[in-house]
Amino acid sequence: MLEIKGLVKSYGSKEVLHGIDLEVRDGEIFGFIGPNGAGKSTTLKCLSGILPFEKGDIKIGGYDILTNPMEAKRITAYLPDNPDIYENLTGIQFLNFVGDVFNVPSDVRTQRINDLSRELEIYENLGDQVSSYSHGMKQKLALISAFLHEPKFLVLDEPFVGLDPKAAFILKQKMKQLCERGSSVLFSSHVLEVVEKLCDRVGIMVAGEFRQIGATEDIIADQSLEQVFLELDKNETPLETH
Amino acid sequence: MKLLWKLIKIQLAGFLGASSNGTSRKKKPWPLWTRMLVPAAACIYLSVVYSTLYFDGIGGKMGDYSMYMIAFFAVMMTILGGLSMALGALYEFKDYDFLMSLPLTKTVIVASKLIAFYLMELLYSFFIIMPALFIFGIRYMMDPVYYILGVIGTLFFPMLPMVIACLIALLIRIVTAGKKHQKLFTNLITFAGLGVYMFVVFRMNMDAAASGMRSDFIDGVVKYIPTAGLFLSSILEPSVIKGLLAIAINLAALGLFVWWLSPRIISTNAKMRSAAYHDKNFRLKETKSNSTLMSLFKRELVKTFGNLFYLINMAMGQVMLVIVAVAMMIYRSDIEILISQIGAGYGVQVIALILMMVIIAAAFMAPVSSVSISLEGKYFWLLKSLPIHTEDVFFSKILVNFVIIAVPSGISWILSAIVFKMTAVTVLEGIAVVLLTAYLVSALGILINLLFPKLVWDREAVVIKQSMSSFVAVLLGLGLSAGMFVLYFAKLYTVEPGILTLALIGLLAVLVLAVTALLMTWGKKRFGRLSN
Repeated sequence: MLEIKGLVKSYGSKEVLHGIDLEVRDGEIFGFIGPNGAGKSTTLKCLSGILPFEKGDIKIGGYDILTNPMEAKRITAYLPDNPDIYENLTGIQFLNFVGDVFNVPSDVRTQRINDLSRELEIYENLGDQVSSYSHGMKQKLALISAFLHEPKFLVLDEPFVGLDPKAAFILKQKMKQLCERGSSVLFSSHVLEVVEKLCDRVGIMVAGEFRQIGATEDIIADQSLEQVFLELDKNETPLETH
Repeated sequence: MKLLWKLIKIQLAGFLGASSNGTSRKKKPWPLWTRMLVPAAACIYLSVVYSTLYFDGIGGKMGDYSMYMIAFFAVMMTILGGLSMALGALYEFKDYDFLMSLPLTKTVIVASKLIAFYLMELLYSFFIIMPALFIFGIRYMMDPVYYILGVIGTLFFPMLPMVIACLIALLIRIVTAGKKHQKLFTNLITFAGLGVYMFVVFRMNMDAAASGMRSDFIDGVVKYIPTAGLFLSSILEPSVIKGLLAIAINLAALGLFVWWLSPRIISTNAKMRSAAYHDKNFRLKETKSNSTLMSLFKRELVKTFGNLFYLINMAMGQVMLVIVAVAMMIYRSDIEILISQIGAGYGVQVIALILMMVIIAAAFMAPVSSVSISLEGKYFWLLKSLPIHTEDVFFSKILVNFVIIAVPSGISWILSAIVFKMTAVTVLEGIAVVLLTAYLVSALGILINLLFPKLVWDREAVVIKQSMSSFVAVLLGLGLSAGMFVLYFAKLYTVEPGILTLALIGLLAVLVLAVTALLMTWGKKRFGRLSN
């Protein structure tokens, strides 16, 4: 589903991604962990078409994000760590806007909005302006918009921040259901227990490079993900691929 | 004290806005004082232009009248600017949670807000009054006392208008708390305030034209804005007593206000955070789907028309155009006499051409799209991550600006065509000019904004009033309009107006094609590289 080769990204003269390679397979949930400033969000923004990059190739579903951005974006949904949503629109106006952009038919859209908003318990707030929403409510609204077109590839940056336990549980269920239908999920998180339980494969990024990429059970072996992560963060080891 | 000064600096930085241009995350921020240069330069420019116009236009024994006009302008700028600042930064400040969580006393928080607010108000009033004061002083060879009283008095000048702005803002916040269209209501009141100001200025100019009305106006200033009247009397007479009285009134007004308001600022902010609008009976209905362009256009339209501050700053000329056209309809008989004096046919063609140029000039004063990409700000990630063609983004923004220009310009053109009994061909030519100009200004605005993007900001006012793209768009518009009139009246007035009209349409069409081509090539690439 996702193929990144030799991705290099700089902010001014400072290189923050040093030629990373990454593959996310069809139907898998890929967890992306690393300390703050490691380059996780930057990577997610590059592959979502938000940030330009200097070198490398990014392909989503076979579509190059630079040469075929529309096709790549049509099958993708991206959710940032801090979803800033148009505050002068109401929740339903925002969802209709996203539905229009992804060409979701009216009846399908209405059904999905109805189901997801009731499940996430923000149905009654859809008529309110987004400016009145709490962080968690904005997160839920952004989640509904991300699932609205049933994306082939779901990219989530710290999706569990601000969500109540029930919403976090629903999100995990939705991610699994999406992958069962052949879609893929790539998400970054600092909640290592969730990553450990939910992900088929994991990538640990330190200082703009992957230190480890592989199946979750291979990386963990007889330790916990937390122990592996702390060890890697302490001793910067060369790349290992499982 | 050191902490208070640091807080004041932070608040001032907040008022003046972020300094990054949105494309470079590692760029060193500009020092605070340099960020004051832009609003200061704008005020100095306005003051020099207005005062020179007044002194040249009225001149003679009525020079002091011009000073009253400038003082009135400064008062209105302080009130209207203060209203917007008070609404966003005093009663609904974004750093409320952060500041309240710190071990700071409420007094320090409120003092830092009010002092920074006063300094901003002073920035506006000082740089509006000072150039006019010096131009007047040099022209009328005033004594040194005039300058001393003028400089000292100006330091206290914004206090009373600031209190008025704060009280109006407080009233608006209390009335609109928990209402659905809070922002719209707020902007309507601001818009109404500006309307009142324009009406008063119009009346004053009319009165100034008629001899003997001057004293009525000055009486009005003294009566309704006593400190402004006292301040001017003190420097013009000159009278130290009156100057001291003006300072005392200003200080008393601000002191009383601070004593009364300080405890209420914190409580009003706390209330604002718990009084959001909620649709109690929301029901999900079947919705009609739209194309991406239409959906973007609707979103842009809601955003633009929900923001009257944006419209006031960018599209006031279009409203004035319609007002002038309606006035022409009212004074139709006078205009018919004028036409009969000029002579039908050729005379009307000349008038039509000049009106077309007026429409073009007014359109260039409404470059709404020149900040529309910058205004995406923190929402820019949505446009970049969604499958939206760049040209759809461009055209949705162009279309909104096009509507804002084409509708009022079209109405004024049709009204003018009726008043001046234009031929069908001339009417069509005018419509072509309106449509081409509306598109040209809108597309040019996008190009300018792509050249000077400002995607990192904390208040929209920073983008609308202080960003490089808005400055360039307005200055370019002013330059092109002035150049057009100068060229016509200096060189081309002898050329047959029909030929000139066709040449104008041809030129506009060529420019439209050139700007569109640039937008679709360089513009698209540039947009792809933008990020915040």
